[in-house]
Amino acid sequence: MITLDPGHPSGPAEQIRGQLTALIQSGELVADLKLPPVRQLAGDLRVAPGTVAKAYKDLEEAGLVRTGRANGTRVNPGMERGVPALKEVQRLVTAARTAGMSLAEVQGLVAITWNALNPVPTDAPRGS
Amino acid sequence: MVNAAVLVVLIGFVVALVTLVRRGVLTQRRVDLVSFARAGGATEQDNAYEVLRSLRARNLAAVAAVVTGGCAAVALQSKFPDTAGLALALAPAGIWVLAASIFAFWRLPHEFTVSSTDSFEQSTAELVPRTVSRFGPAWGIMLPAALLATTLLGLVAAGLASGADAQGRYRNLPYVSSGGAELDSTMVVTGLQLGEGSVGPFPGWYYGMPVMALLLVGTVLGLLALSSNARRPRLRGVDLHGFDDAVRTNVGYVISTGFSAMLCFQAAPMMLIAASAINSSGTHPVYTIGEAIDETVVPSLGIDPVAGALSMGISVAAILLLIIGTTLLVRLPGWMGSALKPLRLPAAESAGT
Repeated sequence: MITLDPGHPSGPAEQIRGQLTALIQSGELVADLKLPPVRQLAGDLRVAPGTVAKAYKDLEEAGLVRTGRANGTRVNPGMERGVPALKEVQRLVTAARTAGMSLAEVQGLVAITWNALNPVPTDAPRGS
Repeated sequence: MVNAAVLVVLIGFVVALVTLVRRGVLTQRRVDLVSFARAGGATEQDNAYEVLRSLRARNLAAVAAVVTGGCAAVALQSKFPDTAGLALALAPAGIWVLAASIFAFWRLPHEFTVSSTDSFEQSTAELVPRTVSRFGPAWGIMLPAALLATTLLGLVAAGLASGADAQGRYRNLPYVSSGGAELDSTMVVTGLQLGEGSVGPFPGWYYGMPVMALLLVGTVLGLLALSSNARRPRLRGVDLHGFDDAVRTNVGYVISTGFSAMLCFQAAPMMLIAASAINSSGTHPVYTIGEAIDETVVPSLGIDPVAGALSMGISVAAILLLIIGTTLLVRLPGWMGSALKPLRLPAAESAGT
């Protein structure tokens, strides 16, 4: 299941793409799994079909999914990475909710840990 | 040979009934939509009740369409008696077209004016494609498809076998019979004669073509209704997902059950008419060469074994279809009535608490 938050800084297409990417790379969405049609996902998320189509196109360009005319959009095999499994994140969220933390507080906690463990982002431009 | 055929038909009858019971066609378990609607907070309940109200109005409109269609068929038959029962023959498929149009084009609401809680600001989506076969009974596609294919094949076969009546309408069954006898001056049978005849009514092209056309229209509308049921956007709020699924399942059952019942009641009478015509065409007086004919005595009648077995088999299959159709029709009001239960008024309840 994916969720769109209107208050999120990213746009809807980016949120859809990001969540689907995470689900595919964590192995929650297994290889060859068929994703819902664009119209179904757009209707459920209350966004324009073009928004979902853009997210699917981005995923296809990233090689995470493939789109066939009759087969719909399916997850490509071999896309699962050694990223933290969704279950570990679910454990973190459960613990945070039990502790009464908000989403923003958990995100802040993750950001602090992220920066502490990886002070120089690998994708940052390297200047002289 | 004929006894063996009857035995096979009867065994097939029993096997078909047992299979249908085991597949859950004759035994269905309903869920209480109103109890599902009580999930979540007051806003979710308000929205769920709005869906139930729309579902109830749609079901009542479909029932009204069925009653209107039935009355129209009887009225047309009375007004045009020369049509040889065409209006009545078309009634089941015509009634289904009316009802299916309502299910196909009357969309249930999925977005509401009241959506104040935080859970309504976010929108969620499952990542499982919703197909038409996901909601409703497991047999919801297969049984109607099998019934439809059998009905269409039967109508085509009957059409090919049919012949024209006195008005040139293809609603008779032509046949060749050996029921004639050559007599000498002393009324002794000296030879057997072949004769041609025609018996009706028979579900030939006169009935078959319009019935097939209406069945195809009804099938398209039924699939459209199932498709819109599956693809309708989900209600906002995770608490309503169970209710949303229950409504889709209910609608799936109503459409599949209604369509299957209609097919049974469309096919069974035509099969019984065909069986009667086949039986009549195969029945003829039995003469023996050298036999003296007494004009005052009605000659004994015999039936062609193939025609007898065929008419018996078709009759038994038609009775099986009538049993299935009646059972489904008895179940249908239960499914449609799930939305007719009195709804608790959220405002009254909130005032009381």
